Amino acid sequence: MKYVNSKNNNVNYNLAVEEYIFSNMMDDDFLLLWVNDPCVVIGKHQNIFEEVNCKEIQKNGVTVARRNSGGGTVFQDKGNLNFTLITDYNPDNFSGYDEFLSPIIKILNEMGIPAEKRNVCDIAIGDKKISGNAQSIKKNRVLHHGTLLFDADLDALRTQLKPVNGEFKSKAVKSIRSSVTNIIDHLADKNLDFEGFKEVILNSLCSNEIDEVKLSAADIEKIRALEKSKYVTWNWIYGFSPTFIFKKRGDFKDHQFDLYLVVEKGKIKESKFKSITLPVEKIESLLSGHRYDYFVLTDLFSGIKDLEDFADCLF
Amino acid sequence: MKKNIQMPKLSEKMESGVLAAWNKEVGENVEKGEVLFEIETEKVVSEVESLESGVLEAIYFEAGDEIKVDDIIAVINCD
Repeated sequence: MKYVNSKNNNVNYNLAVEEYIFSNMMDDDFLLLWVNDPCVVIGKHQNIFEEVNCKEIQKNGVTVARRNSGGGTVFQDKGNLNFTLITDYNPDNFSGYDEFLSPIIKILNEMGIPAEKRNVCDIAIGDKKISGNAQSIKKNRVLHHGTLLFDADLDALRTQLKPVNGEFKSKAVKSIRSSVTNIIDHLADKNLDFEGFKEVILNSLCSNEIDEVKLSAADIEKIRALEKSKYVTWNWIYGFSPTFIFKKRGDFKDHQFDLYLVVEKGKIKESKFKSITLPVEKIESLLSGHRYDYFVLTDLFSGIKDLEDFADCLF
Repeated sequence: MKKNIQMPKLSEKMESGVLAAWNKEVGENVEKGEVLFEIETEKVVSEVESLESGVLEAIYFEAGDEIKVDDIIAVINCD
């Protein structure tokens, strides 16, 4: 197994590193360890608008990313260690998660942590989750990745993400909220820090024979290109969301309204307003075809008399 | 000739999966080896490649539907 150590803390760059190795380097098994600056990461087939408050995210400049694997939304910071394992896949003898989770659980147990597998793809201490895992399968390769909460400050980010005031209808994959705990609070060795924990995981997974691969300048150039053409784009992060309906009863200044939006590939395909006092037809025709995006809609209404700031109540 | 496309079994224990997204639309040409649709089950996203070349003639499920292994999902006209 070859080891790739990503020293970059940008989630979208790191997701591009993963995908590049997964799609292009077929000759070996790979382990990647990576750490992200504070960010929100959603599952591939989730509706981002339903999972997080996009208006708050955009206003506050929170980094968001859409990964290639399934499952729900996670909040990360530098107290969370991400691990990725890439290997061959054969549907006839594929066991799913066990072959990847068992070695991790064993390492944690050897450190004195009473970690156990929970549900299909979580690792927990008692009823509190310490690791969420997901996979992506493509041709004859599988990518497994997971989080390991070492000393993450999850409340800091979570409090920024106020839930959306409205009702969503979609067939998108929904997140399941779990209560979580940090590994550091369960360690016998109180002197072990994040870097020390990472070393233990690395050495144990590689059976103390670390075969580190340095990505070449040409590799990094292609990874940068993938990051730019896919991971940081609006079409991927927002537009890849499955079609959804958003309904809300709201107020704008002294006007009450009912809003009904159909959003397809991130764009407003249909909008219906009910209001006694607002110019509903004008609003509906303005919105049609635009991205359901806080900045785009703020610009759209900014020069329009009596409707400036109207975008604020559309989320 | 028309070929039925069935829900694949992607692991030993899989009984059903959710069709997460279509990568092709009805009427579109499909080449053997191209990704036809994606399945998500237990947080695993699998890209399913077409085993046939032809025109995607009909689809019987939409994104978000849960489908049993071996159920017919679509028809490809290989003429």
